[in-house]
Amino acid sequence: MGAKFLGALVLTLKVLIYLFLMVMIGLFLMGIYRKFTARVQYRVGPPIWQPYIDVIKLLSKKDAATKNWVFDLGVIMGLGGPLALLLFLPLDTIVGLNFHTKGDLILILYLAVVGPLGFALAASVGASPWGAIGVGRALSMMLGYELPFILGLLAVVAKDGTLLLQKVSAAQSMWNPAGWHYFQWPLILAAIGAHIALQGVMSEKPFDQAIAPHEIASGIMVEFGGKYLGMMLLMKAASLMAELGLFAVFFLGGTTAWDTIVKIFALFIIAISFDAVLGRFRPDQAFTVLWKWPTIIALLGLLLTVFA
Amino acid sequence: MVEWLKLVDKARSRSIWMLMYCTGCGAMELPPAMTSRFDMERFGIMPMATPRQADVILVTGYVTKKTLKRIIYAYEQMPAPKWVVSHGSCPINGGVYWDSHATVNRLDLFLPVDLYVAGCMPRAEANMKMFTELMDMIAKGEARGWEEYVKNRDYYKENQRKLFGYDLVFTDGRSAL
Repeated sequence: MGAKFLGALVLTLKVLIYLFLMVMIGLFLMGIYRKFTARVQYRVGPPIWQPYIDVIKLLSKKDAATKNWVFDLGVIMGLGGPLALLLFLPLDTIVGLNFHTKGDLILILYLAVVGPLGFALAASVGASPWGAIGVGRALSMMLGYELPFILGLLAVVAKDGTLLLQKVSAAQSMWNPAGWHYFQWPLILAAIGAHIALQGVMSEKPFDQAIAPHEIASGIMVEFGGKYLGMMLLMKAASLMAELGLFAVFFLGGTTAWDTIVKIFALFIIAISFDAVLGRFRPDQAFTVLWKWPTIIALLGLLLTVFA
Repeated sequence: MVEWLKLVDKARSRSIWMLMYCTGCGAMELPPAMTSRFDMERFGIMPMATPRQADVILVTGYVTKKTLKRIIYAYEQMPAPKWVVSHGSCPINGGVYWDSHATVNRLDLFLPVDLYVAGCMPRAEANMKMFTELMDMIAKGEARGWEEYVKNRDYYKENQRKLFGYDLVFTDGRSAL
């Protein structure tokens, strides 16, 4: 009895430490984002630890303007979704967990939408018209990027003949790029399609319609202030790690924690380079673009993988 | 506990998100302070889109009876701790509009102003001075306007009632806007 209890306690502690670490690394990525964007705009930019300061400030706010319990629930759901998703990525070897051996694509695709849906739920009870516009945009964008992203992942599944993440990463080499799915014909087509869609998944430019601060007063974030906004920053950090980690596992041979983190940083730098120089599509344009180019490329990759 | 509060005050001072209530021309000199010449993001200062996300409201220009209602609503939506900056001559003493029938000459009768920036309009250098001053005040815990507003609520509400002729929020919770 005692040993069992102790084991459960150690497991819980490990999970908490792991999730804390991932959120901290995610916040560090956001710091890099702000510094990088500032340098591109020929500014000095904030210190790289600025997101940590922002989170401390927001969580120490005295007032919390809430609407009702659905608003609170949505925020918790929004933070919980990406945290649950993180558990099933091989990043968890960093503290010696092995949940990732049980993670498969179906589970992960379901968990991936929990965060955005919780966010949309909270924003839609926020009673601001800007929030309603933001929710509409976010959900239609979700429809737009999920199709090419999933087509790309399905091509990998067809190639390896497994849904398990562990087997997908075992089918690739860890450091040799020639052994990655990204650089193998015809999977490279699926990878490119999914990579374009990844920009939408992370809602970086040109696919950041849902939180456009200059058009619709930050859209879905409009009613969030103080502690709620702090939770949103943490959610953003966690989902950055989860989304980039998923892509790294499927296409860049992410096997253990440390090499996946390196690949996450590389992917993130590529994403924010595009973000820093591109504008924003109109919502209808973004939807058309996403269902045209990445979808066609990813579908071609899938078909070539299955039939050739 | 005291050390922890000092850390929190330090974090608040290095991460000021501002709501620019651009009632007049005063905001003209804020873009230079924001962009590469002065770059206020060095200090973690950013413009924000809504009152809910903001820490400081900049009232940059003349205040009329009509805009003052919106300013008060925006201020009351902001989560505490929050600060008010009276930016330019107009919200301080009326500026060039001091004898107009429509303007309100003194903002600090209606909201607890933490910092005044004189000038018509204040240049980008003055804006940066204002921000560094505000950062110092917040880090030392001196900028307490949001507590004054709660403590002296009767005073501010009485002034607002005298100006508008009615309460901004009716007894049944409806707003007067």
